[in-house]
Amino acid sequence: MTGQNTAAQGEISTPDARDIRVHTVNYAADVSGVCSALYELGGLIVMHDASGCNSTFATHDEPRWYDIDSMIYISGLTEYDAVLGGDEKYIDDVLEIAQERHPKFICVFGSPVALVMGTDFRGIAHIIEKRTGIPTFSFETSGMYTYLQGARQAFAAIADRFCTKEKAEEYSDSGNTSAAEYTISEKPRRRLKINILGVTPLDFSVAGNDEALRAFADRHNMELVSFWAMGDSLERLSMAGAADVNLVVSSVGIDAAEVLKEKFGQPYVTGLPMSGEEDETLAEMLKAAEEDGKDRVLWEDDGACAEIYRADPPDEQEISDAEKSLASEENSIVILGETVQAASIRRLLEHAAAGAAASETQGEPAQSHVHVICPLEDSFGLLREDDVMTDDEAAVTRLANAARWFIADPVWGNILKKDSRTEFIPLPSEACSGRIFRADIPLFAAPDWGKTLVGRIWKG
Amino acid sequence: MLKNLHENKIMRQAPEHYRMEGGGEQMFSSESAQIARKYAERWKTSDAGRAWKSQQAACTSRLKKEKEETADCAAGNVGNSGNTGAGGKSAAYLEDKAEWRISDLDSEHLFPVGIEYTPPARGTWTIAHTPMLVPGLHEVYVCPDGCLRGVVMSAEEFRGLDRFHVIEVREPDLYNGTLETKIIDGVTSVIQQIRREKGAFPSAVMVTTSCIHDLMGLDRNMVYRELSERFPSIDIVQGWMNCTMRMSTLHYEQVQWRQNYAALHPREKDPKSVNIIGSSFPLDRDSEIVQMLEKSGFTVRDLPLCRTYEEYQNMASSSLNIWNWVMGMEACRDLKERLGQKQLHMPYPWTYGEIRRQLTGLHELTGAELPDFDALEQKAEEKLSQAHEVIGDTEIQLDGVAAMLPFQLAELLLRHGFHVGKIYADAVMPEDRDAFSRLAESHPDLSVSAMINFRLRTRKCDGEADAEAGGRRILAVGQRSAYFSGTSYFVDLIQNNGWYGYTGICRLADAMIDAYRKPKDAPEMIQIKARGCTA
Repeated sequence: MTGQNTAAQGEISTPDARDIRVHTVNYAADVSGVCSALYELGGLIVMHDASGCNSTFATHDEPRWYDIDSMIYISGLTEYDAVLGGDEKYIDDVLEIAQERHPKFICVFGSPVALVMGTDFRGIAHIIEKRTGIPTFSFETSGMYTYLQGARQAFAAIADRFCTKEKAEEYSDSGNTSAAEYTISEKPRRRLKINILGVTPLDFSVAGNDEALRAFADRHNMELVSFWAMGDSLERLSMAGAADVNLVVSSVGIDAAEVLKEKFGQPYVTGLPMSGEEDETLAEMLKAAEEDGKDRVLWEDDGACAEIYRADPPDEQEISDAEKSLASEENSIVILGETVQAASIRRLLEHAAAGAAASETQGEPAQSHVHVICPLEDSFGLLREDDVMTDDEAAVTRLANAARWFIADPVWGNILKKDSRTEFIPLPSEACSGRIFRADIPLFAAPDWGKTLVGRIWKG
Repeated sequence: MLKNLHENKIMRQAPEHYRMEGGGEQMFSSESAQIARKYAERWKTSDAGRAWKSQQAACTSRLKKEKEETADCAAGNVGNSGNTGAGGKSAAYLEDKAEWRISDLDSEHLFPVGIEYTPPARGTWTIAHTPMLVPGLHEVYVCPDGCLRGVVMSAEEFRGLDRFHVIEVREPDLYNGTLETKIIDGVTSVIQQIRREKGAFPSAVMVTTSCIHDLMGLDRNMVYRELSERFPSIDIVQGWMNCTMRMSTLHYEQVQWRQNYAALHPREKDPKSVNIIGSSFPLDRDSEIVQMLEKSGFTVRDLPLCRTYEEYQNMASSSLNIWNWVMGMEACRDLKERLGQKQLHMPYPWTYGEIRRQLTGLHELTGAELPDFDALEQKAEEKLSQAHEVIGDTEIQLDGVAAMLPFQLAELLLRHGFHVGKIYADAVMPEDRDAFSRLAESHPDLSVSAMINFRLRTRKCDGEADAEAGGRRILAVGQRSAYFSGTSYFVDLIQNNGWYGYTGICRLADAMIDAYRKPKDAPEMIQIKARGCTA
């Protein structure tokens, strides 16, 4: 080892240096998203891959793996299958399990190797369904996208296939509907029936946020028809058509909401109740949506949905502009996370800053500029024009270090520089840091959490 | 330099475990396991939990009926063909079709290969962990998200992110012609960042590509040649994460173990230096192998014990490599070819005859003085006898991840009066086949179960609860058998723990007594990935 590194004299130009992580981790992949969404529904889920995807899902993305059984498997794809093709073996193996275990449904989808092999999952699903008579889905996954892309497809497929008018009527006939009333525009109404969509441990963990969301319905005297999908069975989900309106609490539920809207005309409201004020606003929005049939987003005061659709990564100019903007403001805040959660946090912070929550914090919150960084592929038109869609470590490093406050999973704390002014507020998510910080995941889907956060920022 | 989070006002109040850079315990906590357990308790009474229970009950009832019919067939009471066992014989399965009597199985084809389940016993080291044994080596994984997540999360959990970096392969990389340049530029950028942050280049960088690169025909020679030319003072090591290579001539983990020694440069040979090759855990320093060699003036080098890159490089001076399990085989072949080091296969034995044979072979090759076999055997006998006095006829279940040769181990225990009820194994190692055959003769009813067959997922894992209800107890040897049996009484044995020979038998006997007396928190212990791995 006597050579002198070329780079010792200076940096080597690296034009193709992209998608690098030196201090952080990537988010749970699309295949994990499918499995997480469907975990509790009694289906047979078989990833077509060698072995790694299932082990990764089971260890780092799925808190239920040890204690709750499921039928999630890996096909055990080998080098020979990859080269010579082994679709018939995959199908036969799935049929064997289906015959033995009688699942409620079957899912087939693949990993990067299956993508390169060009496996026809749609065709395979068709064959399996024909041979078993069991509803069978295929999903477009490749292990190259985040959990968002898997979970949204999975929920949408359930809504599309299982939620029927007959099932909705069955719900109503079964006496679930109560006669309690609420009031809108002076007119007495029956209890509002809602579905809550988009709940998986990847975004909400298993530490109680699911219960907190169920409590939202109780608190506002609403009837919870179905809860997608922690704690409710496939049978229950299939009755979703009986609801009046849907509450979408994470971006993985939006596609299912669209399907339900198409099938049953249900409008949906997007947002998370993270403060007392948001809790009330969301309840009012749900009632109003039921009244006028229009969709709403929590953080749009006029109730209209943002039209901005951002799925392209930002260019250097955008990053640079955002960096300057954050650095120039005394109380700038960057929130990195899943879109609905991050935008709901922004809303509560901005309301607090504007003095709306001054009485709650008993302080004098300053005006602040709050940026959202969405590390997932799709913002569903829920972000602002100056928000940033990226999971690029280098870009996030610049933005986070320019801000006064940085709210993100603890893993992202690794990118803060020693001399930066940034104060870090860890908000763990299983989709990012897996099981490591589970014990530190707060009850953020509850009205009290916002007060804690606001107090921490402006009084910490 | 990165910010020390503890100096930060907010982070100072945060718990110690937010620290992710180097050293300390792994970050999976008992609280995490407990929270998951509490959710599961709540879930059981939920709508989904009740629906699952009812679905499984219907399935169990149907399978029970089928099993009874199968048993009748095998006994010749119904029809005339019986049921075809996993070994192709007419037989009746036990718990389900993934569990048979040993005498009904064929050791060369234990269970059919098919759809797999991954049990949550994670103590074994993966290919992301073992390169960390090379002091100062940095890993760069180049993979799609799905594969990457598993390895980078492993690194995060053992606080190894400061030596572990990733480059994500995106779908456009597969067709835009930048597969190679992305690796070259990405790794260059990572190395430059390491130098900026740490003030020096790393000694070695292992760049690991994934199965997708092999399928896409990555020009590996060009990539690694270019990186070596850019950084001639760094040992650039090739790595493969090709999980499809599980049934291939070479298992991908064998390839990984070969690469863990690939940075060794030729050195002058020391006839009195011996390497132990291919194990995540150091070979027991009290074992007969180490004791024999050290007493005869040899230096015994073992990768898990290397603390500096120079110590690692000194392994190149050894004249003999000893490998104790199959993962070391390919590494020893390569080292013989590259560095001219002789090799000796000494698979972790559990029978006295095999121990004597192996140690005699070592003596003949090195001239190291043989120990007093009779005295060692006597001591092992005493230890086993003590263990038997405590454990009595408690059912023992063991697995093929705990011991490399589980059938030899079962034979040893059965011969000493222990009640071995079940062995979990997906295959039988060639070195274990004789023991398998002997057991099939002597204990034909011994139960053998698969570990990763899909049926294991829904099989009842509360054998221990049943046993306790009947006033009994199950003692497991190994994490997987602990999980499958549902017992808290288990020996945390992984890949022999480096326990070898008579000393290994003594250590196991002591550990069994300890495990029998003191229950462990299985969910917390066995879910930790790569037991003992630190950055």
